[in-house]
Amino acid sequence: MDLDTTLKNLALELRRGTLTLAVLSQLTTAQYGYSLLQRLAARGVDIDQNTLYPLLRRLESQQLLDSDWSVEGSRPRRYYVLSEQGRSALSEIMAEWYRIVDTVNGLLRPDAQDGDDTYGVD
Amino acid sequence: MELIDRYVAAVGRRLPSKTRADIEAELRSLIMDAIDERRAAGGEPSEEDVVNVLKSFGSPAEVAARYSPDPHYLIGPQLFDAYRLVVAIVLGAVTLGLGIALALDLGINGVSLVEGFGEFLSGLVSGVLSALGSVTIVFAVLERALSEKDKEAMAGATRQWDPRRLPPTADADAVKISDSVMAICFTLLALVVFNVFMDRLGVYYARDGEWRYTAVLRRDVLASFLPYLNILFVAGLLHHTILLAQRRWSIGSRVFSLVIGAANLVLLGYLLRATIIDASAFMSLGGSASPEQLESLAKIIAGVLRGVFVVAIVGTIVEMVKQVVAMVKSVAGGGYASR
Repeated sequence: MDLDTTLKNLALELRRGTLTLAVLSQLTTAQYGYSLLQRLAARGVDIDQNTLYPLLRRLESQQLLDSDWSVEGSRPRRYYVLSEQGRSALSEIMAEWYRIVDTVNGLLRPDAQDGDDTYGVD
Repeated sequence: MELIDRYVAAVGRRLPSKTRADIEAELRSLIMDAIDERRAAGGEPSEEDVVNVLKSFGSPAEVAARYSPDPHYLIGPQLFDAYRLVVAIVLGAVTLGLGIALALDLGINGVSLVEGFGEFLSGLVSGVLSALGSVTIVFAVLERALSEKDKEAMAGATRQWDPRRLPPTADADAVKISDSVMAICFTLLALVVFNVFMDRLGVYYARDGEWRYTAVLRRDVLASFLPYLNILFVAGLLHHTILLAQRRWSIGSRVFSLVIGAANLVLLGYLLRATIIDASAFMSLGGSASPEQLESLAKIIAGVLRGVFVVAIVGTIVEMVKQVVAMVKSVAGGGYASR
């Protein structure tokens, strides 16, 4: 595997862990699959439809989402929205997210690597 | 849209019936949304647009797999360790059973070597296949019948471990002292029995309140083997004494053991074909037994003896193969250079 592919896979892996949080955060109001896909894309979250749609069903089976068929538009669509459990899960995952960001930022700050010159890179 | 119908049906066929209708309906609505997007870009969607949209969703098998929470296993990871264990036990039992049958066939029933081994091999093939098949079927049924909790419990039972109970790392070149000591003891015993007490090998029985003895072995036949037996016994003693002194296998001692093994095979082959039991001696036992009974007794004992030789031949071959494998490993691993 060349370095490019390795880098791409690393970035992909990093992003994959954040997808559930991204999806849950956008479902305080009900969305159907396609509208959620566009909403996420508009906010810079690049998620494949083939990842998103099964993920929605999985989150529903984990009782984090409620879903309902609705015939508001031209055809029946399945709308997903955070369940009661989903709401509290979202706030806990958000807290976890901020903790992780703080921790990793702490590791990445240049001064955190001071006194470690022997292993410094050029 | 006929293409969409066909696509949705192809996905549905691969889904469990419980969720099929629901996922089909949702998938259809999602596909229509994607097609609408193309329609908004300009006019009616062409067949090619539909094809492209469907391709973007992926093959029916992929889509169905994404919607199934658990992969479908014939035998899942929780049961697999137990499955392997049972397969090993069952295959061992099949081989052992057929081996015993072979020994009995060659010994008591007087089946020829070629015929016996032919039957053994064909029995082994069909026995292994049917044993493997039935164990697999049982476990495939268990995989479907057991609850997740039961399966986890089974996985836990086979996965219990403790670092202190792990086997020590094998040093292929280390000499097992107990093995060599045992071999020396038994070889000395055999040496004494065959050279000093050969006359005493026979049937002891009590009649009229006193012990009697009849030599049932053909002393002349045994005597013709004795020099060769002695050479092998002494070679074996030498071999194990050297091993005990060196404490490690070397190429030289491995070759020596292979030579002894080959000589053993030749000798055992001759012993197998020789008539060692003296049938006429059995006739002289007399007593309350009829001549027919005595004759069949002689046959049974001769058969058991041949069975013992066959087992010894198989054992010698196994040992020699192990020796060759160890030698190759040792040479490949640089053991040659280190010694």
